Amino acid sequence: MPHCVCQTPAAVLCFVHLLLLNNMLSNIELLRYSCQIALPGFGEAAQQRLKDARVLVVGAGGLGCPAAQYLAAAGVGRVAIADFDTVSAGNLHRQVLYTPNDVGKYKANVAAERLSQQNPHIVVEAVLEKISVENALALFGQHDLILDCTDNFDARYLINDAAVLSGRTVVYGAIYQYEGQVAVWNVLNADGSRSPNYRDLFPEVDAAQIPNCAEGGVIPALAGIIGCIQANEAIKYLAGVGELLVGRLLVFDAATMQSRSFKIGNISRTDITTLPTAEMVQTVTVEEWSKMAADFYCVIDVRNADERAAFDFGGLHIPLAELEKRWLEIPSKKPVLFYCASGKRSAEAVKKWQKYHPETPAFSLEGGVKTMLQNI
Amino acid sequence: MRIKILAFGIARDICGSGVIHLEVSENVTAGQVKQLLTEGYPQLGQLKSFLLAVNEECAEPDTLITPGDEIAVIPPVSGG
Repeated sequence: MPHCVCQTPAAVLCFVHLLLLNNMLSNIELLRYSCQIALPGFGEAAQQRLKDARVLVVGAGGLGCPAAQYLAAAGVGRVAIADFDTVSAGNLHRQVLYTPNDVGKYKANVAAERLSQQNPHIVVEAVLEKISVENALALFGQHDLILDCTDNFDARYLINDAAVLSGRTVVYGAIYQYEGQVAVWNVLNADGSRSPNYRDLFPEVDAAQIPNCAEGGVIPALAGIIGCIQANEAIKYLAGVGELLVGRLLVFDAATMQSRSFKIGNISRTDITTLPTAEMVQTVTVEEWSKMAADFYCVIDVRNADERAAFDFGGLHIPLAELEKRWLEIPSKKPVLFYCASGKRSAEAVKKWQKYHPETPAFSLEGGVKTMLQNI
Repeated sequence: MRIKILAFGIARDICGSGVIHLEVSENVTAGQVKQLLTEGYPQLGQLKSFLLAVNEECAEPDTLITPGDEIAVIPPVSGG
């Protein structure tokens, strides 16, 4: 019986080399993804599209953990996870990729390592950078799809505008207490126009009026639900199956299990030509503050009443949402130092202060009370 | 006529309830309802943007409200 040429070791190596070069699905991968390949309308072609895709997940927190988890598991070829924050204890109830041993480590690093283990056939990389006007366009240019899993409005508007400018689609998710929102922004329509984006829905916002998870609270599984819906939309988009949340906003209420889909429109009416201007907020670290004289700053605690009642680090108590009504209570001779739980609300306070009192310097305590407690 | 408005997210906290009722004239428009809401609940106006939807569709300012319409106020949400 003649020896089969294709069974020689060299030929096998050559075949594997070709597979890798062509990014083709191996037999092991076909087995791994068999249950999704079996879906009507899916098939190997759709799986290959997932493998060829490069997805950027911005935010490795409550939404990013489940979203990235399912994208990686399902075989998206390149998953980049962008987050510059470290794991803290208060994250663990809903940021399910992390353990108590991970507290203090960079979220993106831990997530990338965990997900690489879960799926060794793909590339999962950590991007230890804050998305900014400096890097957004370049980063978005390197990816096919962006997931907005962030936790603040500055990031959301930046992601939205950068996506519009670079012709990228965004899968948006956001949560508050028991409610979540999901939508797919800026999809290319058949006629060459683009579907609505975030600014079609909310042209601008006063971030100081709207609490985030630490302030308003959040039921943990909601993060999983919304993050998974985002992953679901991303997989459908890349695979070319199902119907997307294009031109509509899903609002999900985990308290009542009611879900509504609000139609926004088919075509965007916005005209975004530049990225948002980054407002500079000067910060002071806990260490720097500890070295200043006790009365150097006029200290303002902008947290809510419950947080203040639990404990405080001194200063006048003026919750952020009341700041503009209570300016007169703040003596404006000394530099002002605002603090809050994590540094977000205090940054908003600085922005507001700078508009009304540009002559008096104001600072935000970097990392907030959370960092002060870690240093004790 | 009496109209029922569903309030989502922080609008629920601002309006004090997930369901509020307003007494309005017969041919009221979505734009006028939005105006009435920001007058009755100034904090809604302070948000700078919120969506007013009628029957699960984003309403134009001149969309007419009819009895039985489901009206919803959807504010921005940022958590993640």
